[in-house]
Amino acid sequence: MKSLFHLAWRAMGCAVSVQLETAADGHTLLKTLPDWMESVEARLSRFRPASELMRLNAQAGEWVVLGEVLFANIQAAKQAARLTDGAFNPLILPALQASGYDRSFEAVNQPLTTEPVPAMDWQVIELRLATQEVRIPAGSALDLGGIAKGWAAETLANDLAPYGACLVNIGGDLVGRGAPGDLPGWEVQVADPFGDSPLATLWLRDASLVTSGVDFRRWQGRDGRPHHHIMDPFTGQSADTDVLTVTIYHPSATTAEAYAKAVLLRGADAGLNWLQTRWDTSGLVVRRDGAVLTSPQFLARVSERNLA
Amino acid sequence: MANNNDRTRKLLVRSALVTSATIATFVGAQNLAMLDATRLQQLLTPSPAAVVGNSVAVEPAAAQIQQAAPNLVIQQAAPSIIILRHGGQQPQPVVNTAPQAAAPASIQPPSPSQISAPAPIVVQQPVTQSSNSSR
Repeated sequence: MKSLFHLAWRAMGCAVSVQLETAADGHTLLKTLPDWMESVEARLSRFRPASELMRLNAQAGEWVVLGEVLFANIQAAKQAARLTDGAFNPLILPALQASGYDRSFEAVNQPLTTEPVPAMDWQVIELRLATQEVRIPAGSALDLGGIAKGWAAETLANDLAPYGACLVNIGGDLVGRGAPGDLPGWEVQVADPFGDSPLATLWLRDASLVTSGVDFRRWQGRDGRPHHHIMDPFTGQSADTDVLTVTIYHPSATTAEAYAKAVLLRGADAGLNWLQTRWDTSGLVVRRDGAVLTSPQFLARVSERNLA
Repeated sequence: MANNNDRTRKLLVRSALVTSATIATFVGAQNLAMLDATRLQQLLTPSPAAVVGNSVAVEPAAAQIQQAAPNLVIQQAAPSIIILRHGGQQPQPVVNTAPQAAAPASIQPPSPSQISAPAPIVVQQPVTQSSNSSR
């Protein structure tokens, strides 16, 4: 007899939720997850000076042997950069630091101390697969951004899938495997940044739904200019975009994260048009003026919507 | 003596035949080569009449390319975006923005993260999850 187990906690700076429908011992399976997440965060966080990521950044210019988790994430980040022609760029950390987004909010509000720093070309990241080594150029630094969240959600879901249908949510990065009961999938919603009612409801099965946006983690510097955490790697400044949030449907959560960033940087119309040139994906955009746009493929997946 | 004269005559006749055949072959081959050269020349530098003839063959291909291009550019893709809600009629977004003078709020994740998570619970229905910007 199958039971539906649910566990919620906070990690990676956001809410985490895991649901698993299984005939196995769900308590035992789920209770190990927070420790696993903590071990992942300890390796990947740019906010922890002792993390493996920050140790790699400190050794920029040298070949560094990495553990499996960080190496897999850097591979995923490089692939994300390739898929988005550099719109997602893991070498964005110096730009983030220059904008002030590397510390608590009172420090973020200080004037910019340096000129904007465009990110280096992502292709300079070198990998040695056989020895699991990575070298980034001297003066550069990695930030995995949303890729780490997407990778963690996907890895958790893949690990749990052999035990039953599961849904993982890490800060809005949703990954569904299988379907609970006799439902067509896991019922998930797209949040409306302008209100409490969801914009759309759809069934998620063996796929990912990822939302990224500039509606969160925004601040205004003393230079009078608005800042947010989505940086344009080509300018080194907060992305100048008409997009408030973008939601991407794709089989892979890491790819969905990358596509969300690319659409956000391109703008609503150009971004959605570009998205339709990509394989097996679709999206929904909420513009800053409140307009909601989708690609036809996304609308086809929606089971309910609160809009005309 | 007569035999010698016959032999000489036969030799001369054979020589004449071989020589004439060789000359004919050479002339024929040269004519064929000249024909090929003329044809090649026509192909490489066509006469005005040939240009007209070729242009008939080229133009349809060019026309096809010109017709295909508008179908490939954004004009075709733009209408495929569906507007579910028009802009300008919504309230200000619900943002988690700290005003400049507000009390400092950390944008860093808690460190260390909460690792003493509550025990998993058994639920009757799947809990609907929402996809939004991470918070």
